Amino acid sequence: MYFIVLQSSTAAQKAKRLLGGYKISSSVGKISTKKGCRFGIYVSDNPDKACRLLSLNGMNCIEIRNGGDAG
Amino acid sequence: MIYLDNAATTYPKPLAVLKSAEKALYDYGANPGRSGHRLSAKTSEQVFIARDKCAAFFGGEAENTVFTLNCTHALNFAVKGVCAAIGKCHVITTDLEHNSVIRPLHALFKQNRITYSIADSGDTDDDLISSVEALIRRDTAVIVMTAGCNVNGRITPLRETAKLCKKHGICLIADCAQAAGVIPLSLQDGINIICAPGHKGMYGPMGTGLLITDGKFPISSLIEGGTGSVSGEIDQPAFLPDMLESGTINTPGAIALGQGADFVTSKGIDRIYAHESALCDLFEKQCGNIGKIRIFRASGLKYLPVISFIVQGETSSATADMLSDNGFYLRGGLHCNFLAHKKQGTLETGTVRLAPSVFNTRSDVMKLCDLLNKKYG
Repeated sequence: MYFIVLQSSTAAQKAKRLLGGYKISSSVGKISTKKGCRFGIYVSDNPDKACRLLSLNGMNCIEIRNGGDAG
Repeated sequence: MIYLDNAATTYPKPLAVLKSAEKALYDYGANPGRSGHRLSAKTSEQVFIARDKCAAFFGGEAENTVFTLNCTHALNFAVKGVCAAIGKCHVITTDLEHNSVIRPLHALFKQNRITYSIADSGDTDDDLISSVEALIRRDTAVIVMTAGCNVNGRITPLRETAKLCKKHGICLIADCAQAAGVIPLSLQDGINIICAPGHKGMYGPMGTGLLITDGKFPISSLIEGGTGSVSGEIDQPAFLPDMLESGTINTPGAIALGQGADFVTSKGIDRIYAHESALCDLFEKQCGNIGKIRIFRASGLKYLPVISFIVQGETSSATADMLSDNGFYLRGGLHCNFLAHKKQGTLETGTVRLAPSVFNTRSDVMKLCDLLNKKYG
């Protein structure tokens, strides 16, 4: 499981919808970081592909974290 | 009871909107965009769906669509936010504008943050465009214009104004309070920022509004606070919608507003406009010949389905009171727009304003006209 950090809750919801259009399942989540809480999406595998698809649609993936230390 | 005050707020609301608000209160009761638990995520998803629908309705993007409490909030955010981002500048507006345009501008002027000019709307669209163009200076950075006057319903030439703005690099902010949901309006027409109420032509609940930007002009925040994002940083987020959505939004209202957008889309804006305009035309035809009644419409102009009239010899408040006593609910007075009343010479009397919705019928208007005929004919 990977967590892709995005800009905001709105961005996370948009990302989930976008990836759904590419048949990639994801769920919106929230983690705590040193910079405070960050919203993003969980994907089970291939986060780079997910990020590429999001970038193609004008979205900015801030960071990819492994599921183990996503929080 | 016959309600014809839909320019103030539409009533009744569609059943789907009512049910959506009720469901939101029951099922989507967590704070969206704050917590990480499932209920918050579910609520966030519903808010996003509504945001996306409202964005698409006006040709915008979801992230650039901000939920506000009403159109006045949206206008204040837009006008003050853009002017703050630009720095001291000159702003042009028109003599048709609501107080929620002219008051923020005047407040900024008194703070020595802008200068502003009021264009004479004249008698034709060409008059208005020429007047606006003549006022453009080197430091003109913003034009704020209503899409349709809330007093007499006059539709302004926004697309032509947008071309003028693009030519001069000026930001066009459109006050769509009366026009949203009634005539087609889109960022694709060249408007840079659309400000709209959720609770009038979009048939959403009161306590909702929209600011939708094309992102070409920066907007500074007016209200800073909790946004649920980058919480560890002292600065307000610089990205939308968070930058302009501090604090908890009107979540059930926003979700229900999405249903309102669906309602208007399913009915069809052109059909809504045709229906409501036909009712105004019927009023004009039936009451225009009553000697004591003066209706404020001119030939050669396009109008929203909003129509003002006065009964000579009495104030608009007195007429509105009489109508209310007889079960007809219309607004009398200045309608928060002294500029338009000054232009049409009704500053002392105000006017009575008829504004139908999709739910009004020919029978409603005929009954009103029968009463007016009986009282003043």
